[in-house]
Amino acid sequence: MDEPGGDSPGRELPQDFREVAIELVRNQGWRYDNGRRRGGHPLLLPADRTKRPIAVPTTPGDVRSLRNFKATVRQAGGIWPPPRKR
Amino acid sequence: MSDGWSVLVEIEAPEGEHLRAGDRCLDALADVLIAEHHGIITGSATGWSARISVDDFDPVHADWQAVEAGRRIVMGMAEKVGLPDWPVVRLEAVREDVLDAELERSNFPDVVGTQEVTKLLDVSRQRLHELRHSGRFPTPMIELAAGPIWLRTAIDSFLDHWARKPGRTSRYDALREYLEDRTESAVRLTFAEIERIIGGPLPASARKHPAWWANEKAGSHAHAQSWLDIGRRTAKVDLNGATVEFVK
Repeated sequence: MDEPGGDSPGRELPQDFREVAIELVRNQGWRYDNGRRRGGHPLLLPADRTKRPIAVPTTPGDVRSLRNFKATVRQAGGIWPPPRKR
Repeated sequence: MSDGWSVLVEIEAPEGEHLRAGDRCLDALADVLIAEHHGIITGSATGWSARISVDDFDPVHADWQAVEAGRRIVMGMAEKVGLPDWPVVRLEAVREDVLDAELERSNFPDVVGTQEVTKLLDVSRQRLHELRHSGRFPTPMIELAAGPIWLRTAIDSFLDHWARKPGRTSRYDALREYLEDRTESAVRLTFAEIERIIGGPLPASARKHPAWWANEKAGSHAHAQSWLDIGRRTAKVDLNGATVEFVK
């Protein structure tokens, strides 16, 4: 689960998860691996390389898995939600 | 109040151990925990974590039951998919409504730069510069090429305790601060130096009438208050030489 990636989060991710993944990859220096080459789950690779990659669900998300996903992202150093413009 | 809990279980490999390259155990663990427990998995060769949702507990002992249930589910599944029996290094449970409230707020700190701070304090940039060198102002978290960055909470806290005297104009306040920092019994300043300190020109009467420099506290003589407040008075006002001495 630790292979590097240079993909962009796409429709393989449920929309709520994709929104978070796009923010992390575009604006926070994270990388994304869609998992196709490995035949595994898509991975989000934190900008802080000492943190472990996160396996992102591809099945339609629900409130509870999205909550756990956001908490995991924050624990890995991701900023969520991004601060709003004053 | 929610009955559900989010439980995090984190595992670290003992020194010298690691998963083999191409090992699919973590993918298998992700498959089952995502499908059955709303789980999110992180992992590398030297450790992994799982955050899952659990619920339906006796309200009195829900916290410990949630921790235990989360640990049992995660470790049971890990064993089933063939992950090595590595030690748990972190075990956390948080009620879902509490976690929701945390996730609503950004985890990026509220920060402010020079422009925001001058607005919050209602002072000029020059006055802010003086405050920063007074030794009483919060130190910025970081100095970028674009300027200093403070935590907003530090500025709010400073504002709460800042003994700004009401009604005093900032320009003469700067003169007071300057004189307060000087230890000599007599401080001679040119009018030009005073103008640099207060950040603008002295009124025309200061150059024409010695009375402007009188040590009068009565009335609205904010300029005189700036030196009288700190125990100094003016002496040797020289309009031709454009100098004045402040003595203790």
